[in-house]
Amino acid sequence: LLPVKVMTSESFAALLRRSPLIQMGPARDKVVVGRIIHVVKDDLYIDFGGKFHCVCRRPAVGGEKLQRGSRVRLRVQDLELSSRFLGGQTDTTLLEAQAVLLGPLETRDGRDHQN
Amino acid sequence: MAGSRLERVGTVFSRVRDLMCSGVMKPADKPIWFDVYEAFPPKKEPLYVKTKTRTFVNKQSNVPAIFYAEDKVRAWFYEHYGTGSRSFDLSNSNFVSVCQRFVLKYSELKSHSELEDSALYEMTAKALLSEGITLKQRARHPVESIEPVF
Repeated sequence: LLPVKVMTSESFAALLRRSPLIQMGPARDKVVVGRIIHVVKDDLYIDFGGKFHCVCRRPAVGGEKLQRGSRVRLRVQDLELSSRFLGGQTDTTLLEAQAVLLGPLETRDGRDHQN
Repeated sequence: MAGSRLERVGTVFSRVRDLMCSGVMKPADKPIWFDVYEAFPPKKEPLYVKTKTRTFVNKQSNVPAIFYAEDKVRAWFYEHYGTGSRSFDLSNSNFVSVCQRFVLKYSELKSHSELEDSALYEMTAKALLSEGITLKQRARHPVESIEPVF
């Protein structure tokens, strides 16, 4: 038997108001938990639930343990790398966030999650 | 311009006429409509006119910023306690961060008591401490100003 999902009658505005994105406020220097979604040699594409993913370089220390699906800790610098060029009407975006990789997510028993 | 094959320079007649004048187009290649056009030109010359696109250099955005009442509490929290001790899990929609607990406790205390803001903040911090959440005071410069960026 499949578990029945209970549909809440909360409006989107109410859900947004108590969402972790609004709780976070300005994204600069906030520590978030991310999950690696793609790996290209030394580049790790990490999704932390923001508008875009971020790309971080594999660290020299303990970098081999970080594979696709690993959960990591990041310090977010910018949710979207975008700026306006001189003479442009709209901003040009890189469709990428910027974050600093702090390390794998340590759980309470010392092992980091891999799922 | 002596002759051009670009379709927006002048009219098609002027282009063909100039091409024939300069010798690029041989008289044998003269289009059928050329003499007809020469004898009976149209009332309006078929010039390509670019429609004027109004460009706003400073586009006014009519989208209002989303501000909540609890943002004031959040601003105070982040200014005093830094970015928070626990990392955020943005993918979990039921996630309650340290800041959010502060906000909830603050609104709870505000509904019960009639103290002013600064006293309420201290009370909230003490209440959270009793629940087991320690908030580390951040060393801050007195001239620092917070700008709400969304």
